[in-house]
Amino acid sequence: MNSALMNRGLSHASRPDERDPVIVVEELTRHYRVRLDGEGFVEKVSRFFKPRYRYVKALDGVSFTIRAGESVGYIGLNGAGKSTTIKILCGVLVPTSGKVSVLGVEPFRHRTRNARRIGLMMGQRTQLLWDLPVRESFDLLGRIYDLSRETYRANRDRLVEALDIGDLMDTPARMLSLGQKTRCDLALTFLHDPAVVFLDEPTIGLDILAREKIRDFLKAEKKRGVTIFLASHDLDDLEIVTDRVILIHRGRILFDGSQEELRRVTGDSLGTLEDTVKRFYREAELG
Amino acid sequence: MKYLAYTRCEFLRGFRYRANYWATLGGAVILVVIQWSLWTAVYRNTGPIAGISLDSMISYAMMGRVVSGFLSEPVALPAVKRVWSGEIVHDLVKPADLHFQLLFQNLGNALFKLVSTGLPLLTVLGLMGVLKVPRLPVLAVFVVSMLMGYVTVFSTSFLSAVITFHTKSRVGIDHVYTVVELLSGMYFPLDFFPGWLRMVADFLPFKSIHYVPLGIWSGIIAPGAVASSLLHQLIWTILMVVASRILWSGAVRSLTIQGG
Repeated sequence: MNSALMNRGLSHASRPDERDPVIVVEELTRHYRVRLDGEGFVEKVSRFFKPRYRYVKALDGVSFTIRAGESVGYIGLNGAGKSTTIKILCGVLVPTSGKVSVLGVEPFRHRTRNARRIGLMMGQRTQLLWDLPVRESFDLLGRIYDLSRETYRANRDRLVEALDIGDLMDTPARMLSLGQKTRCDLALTFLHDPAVVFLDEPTIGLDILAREKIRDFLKAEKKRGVTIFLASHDLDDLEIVTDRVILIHRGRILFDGSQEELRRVTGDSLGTLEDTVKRFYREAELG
Repeated sequence: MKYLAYTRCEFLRGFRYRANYWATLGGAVILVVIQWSLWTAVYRNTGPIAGISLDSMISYAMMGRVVSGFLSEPVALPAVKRVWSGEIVHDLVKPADLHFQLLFQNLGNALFKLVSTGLPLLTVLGLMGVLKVPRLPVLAVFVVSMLMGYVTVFSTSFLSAVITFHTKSRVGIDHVYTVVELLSGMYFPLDFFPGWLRMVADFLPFKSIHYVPLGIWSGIIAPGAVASSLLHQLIWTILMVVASRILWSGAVRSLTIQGG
């Protein structure tokens, strides 16, 4: 049994606020530099030699702590900073300032080490090998993550069953429907027993039944003790899968707490999470 | 070695496209016929040209066709396109180095071409008596030289792709590659070059791609000059891999710092 699993098992036994912090983010900022195009011919040419920039604050002082086994929903409008946060936590983007730690390491300094213990799934992209049978993608990742033959087989078979993709294993990825592809991608994300999983809109474009399957799967993974960080515009996903929600707006955290607390804040105790969040935006006059 | 898993996938991928395979094989056969006719016509009323006999020339050209798939320009540019479209995020979140991922992935593609097109050609040409397989030591040296040729052609393409990433412009790279092919000895041995061009080609790394391995196979490179040719290959191979790593980590740094 690997150490990530053992840690998970240990932390699962204790109370939520006593578990080890898995993700710690303090005063995180991330600015993007956008080169401005001039107006008119002369300015366009002169800006080539003397460029001017505009700075966009994608993240503007974000802090939160996520403990082992928590499942957190990350809510925000388009451009709020959700994907930027995920990229920083995965180590593919360097923060402008602030502190980040995932499972005790700074992700961008130890990208490869971090990569072994986290899983990333982006609903808009696939990590399946486009023209080979799905099985080959599993084999490849099993090798890349240095899984032993037994671990690999056990994990693969468990995920194949949980996501009901047994019939798809011999089909090339390019012939799968979006729902099938998403399920395969999800299985690949969990193949190496990641302790933390980042999901960026996993159910985007899926039909209601496909979404339900994915939610059920994520709920089951949560029970196994995997820490889940789920960013989605589909608030039904978050309502069902996550306990805690973090609301980000223009690079700042507006709310961080349980779904019940959010309902209490908005005074909307009966509505769906979507209604509650809409009300929150309206009351904060952000919409 | 886990990177060989990438090689395996890419090797298998070749077998997915049957029509493409038959078209490639057909094209290869036609090129063999053309090259054979060309060199026999050139040599009809003359003795050795630039010290190269017809037999050596045929051997150089025919073996050139056999390994041309293995040593053809790799497909590193799609990787750079992936950088721009953001697809690369998934590749970066793997516990594997992306430069080596591409090197070994492309090796699978090269091996597929060698096995699927090169090997049948070699067999047929061998049976017809057009190609004579050299003695075992020469053959072994040839294989080593060809592998260094592979790393060189990969690195050439990879470096140009990474430079393209840094300059954000693809203009120029495509035109340069034709010159690289010429300097590599892909069309004919460097012995046919005028003196000054030969000096340039002898200095540059590109002769490692075709001229050195084929020269060793065909005997155009005299046995006494083989060792220095291999040394030239080795030095440049190391230099190009090192340069690739430096520029590549620079590209990854700017990707992660500037956000693409």
